[in-house]
Amino acid sequence: MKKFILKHSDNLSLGAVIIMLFIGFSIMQPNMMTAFNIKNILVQVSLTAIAAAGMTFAYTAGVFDMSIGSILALVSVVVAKTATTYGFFIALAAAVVIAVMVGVVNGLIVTKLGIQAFAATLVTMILIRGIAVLIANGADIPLYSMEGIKFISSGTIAGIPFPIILTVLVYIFSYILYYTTVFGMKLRSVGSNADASKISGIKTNRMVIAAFVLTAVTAVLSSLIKTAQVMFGKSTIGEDFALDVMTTVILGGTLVTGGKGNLTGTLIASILIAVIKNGLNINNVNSYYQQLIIGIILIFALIVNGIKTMKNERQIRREG
Amino acid sequence: MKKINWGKHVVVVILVGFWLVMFVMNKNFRLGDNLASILREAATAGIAALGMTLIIIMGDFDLSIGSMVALLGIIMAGVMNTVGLIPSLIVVCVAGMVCGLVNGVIIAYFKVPAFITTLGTYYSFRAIAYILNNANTIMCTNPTFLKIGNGNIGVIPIPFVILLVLGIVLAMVLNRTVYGRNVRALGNSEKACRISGINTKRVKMLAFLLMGFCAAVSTMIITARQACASPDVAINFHFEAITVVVLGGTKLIGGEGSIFNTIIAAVLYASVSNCLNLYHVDAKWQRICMGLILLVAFSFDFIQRLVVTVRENSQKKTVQKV
Repeated sequence: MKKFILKHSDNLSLGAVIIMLFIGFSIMQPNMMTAFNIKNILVQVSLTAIAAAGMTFAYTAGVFDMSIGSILALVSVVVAKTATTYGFFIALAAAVVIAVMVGVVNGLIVTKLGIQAFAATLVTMILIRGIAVLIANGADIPLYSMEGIKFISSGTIAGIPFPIILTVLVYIFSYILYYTTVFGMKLRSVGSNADASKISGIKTNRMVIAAFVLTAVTAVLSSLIKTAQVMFGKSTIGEDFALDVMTTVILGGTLVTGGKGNLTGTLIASILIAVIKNGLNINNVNSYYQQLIIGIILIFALIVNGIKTMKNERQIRREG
Repeated sequence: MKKINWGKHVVVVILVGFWLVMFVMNKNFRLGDNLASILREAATAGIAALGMTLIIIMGDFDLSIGSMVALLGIIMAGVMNTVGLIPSLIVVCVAGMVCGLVNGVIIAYFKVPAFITTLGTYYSFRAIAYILNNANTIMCTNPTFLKIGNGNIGVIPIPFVILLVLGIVLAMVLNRTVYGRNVRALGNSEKACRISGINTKRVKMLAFLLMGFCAAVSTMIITARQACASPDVAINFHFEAITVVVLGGTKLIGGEGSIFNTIIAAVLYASVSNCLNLYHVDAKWQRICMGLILLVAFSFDFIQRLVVTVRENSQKKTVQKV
């Protein structure tokens, strides 16, 4: 038992914070505790949690993706454009193809041109958003004729909302991929020491590209949920999405320097952020304060992350 | 006479070529007013790019400058309308340095990667800017203040003069002082710096502090040109500044760069965006053009590195033959 608590101290403390916040918000505003609101929070969770799962892979490989918000917009616009003429499944296929392409391009710029992930995805961020605006021609594309799409955000299977089922599926898949497959092991080794991995025969470039593709593909799912929520193909959605996702992943205890990810932590952190956002919303706090609070949480998480890394290094030095 | 390495000054050649072509092609381009407006435009992104040059040479980035400009603008306009012009200019410089210090302390003393830290402050600073004045715009009508943005000294716009003066000061700092040498050394190898006894944390923190100061000066010019301070201002500012710095040939991996080239690149960037407007390019396409320009700038960096490796390899081969 003690071992379990020590091993999972990060995740447990995050969980404790969620419970405390939840109780606090419920005292301030009793509506927080209703089944409807809790369902609302969980749907909100699924939006960031799914993309954050992909981003955890990227962080593990030692890179990250700023363009994720723009991918959200591009997919939304493309799905709306194609779904109304060719049907939903072709639109879905188109979205996945585009996401894979974006991921590969991101990966190629990082690996072949040797530009840092941050700078490379900054370029693709602005380019992809530009393309999305161009395709949408600056307007929103209505999806009224596609009632079926609503199922993605508000449909239920056996009483459980569909986004939550989707999240669970994504996380089961991610767990298997991350912890049990050779791919996951290679990915972690590339993140912790790229040179050593290369020498021991891992195709590091391919791993980095795969991490970008995974991030982009999870962004497609998030985008579908968002698009179904607003029932519009919008080129303006996801402006703050990169911040939300990164805050989630870092708060979850994934190391910024690469090599060590924490999928459970990511999931718990996304619940935490959704509870904070929802609690502030329900207490009528201005959205600017929400942005400020998320920003401060990110910085706080980074400081904790930094202290942890320093402690780690010191320990290694002492032992070695 | 010292031999000039033209490989390092590609951007000068490009600027001269671009201006020559545009002089011949477009009669509106060669108007005195248009040229002055290009220089004015170059100053806003250019001044921020000066600070950014230092930071990129050090191997870091600062994404928060756009939000800093928004926050500082609101603070400055508020103080100006209640206290007066001179105090407001002092306050904005101090506030800018405090913002930079916040970034610097987190990055240097907690060993957090710069781009993520500044992403956090990117959102926080703008949120504070919104909160401070309830998302309202503040007018600035002090005629002396507006001169900072719109005035001329002779035929040269005042913003450009400020850019030149700051550029000369920072170039001196970078090339002639111990601090500047430390900055460049830090970009080459942080570990080596630490081992040889340089206080790397302080060097890093100071660079971000200087960045904050540059953002404050940019704020003055932007606010004076618009005659108002708005929390929505300068959304893509970090993007422009990074583009200008990279166009100027500063290496992304750090260790090498020049303030002079950054200034030239700022003028080039302003000229290109001026031409996009002259030829009535749609705003939607302008955004894509911005992205493409940055991609081209990055490719420069790549090509430079490629040339260096090829040259080194061929040298190795000749050595082996001998």
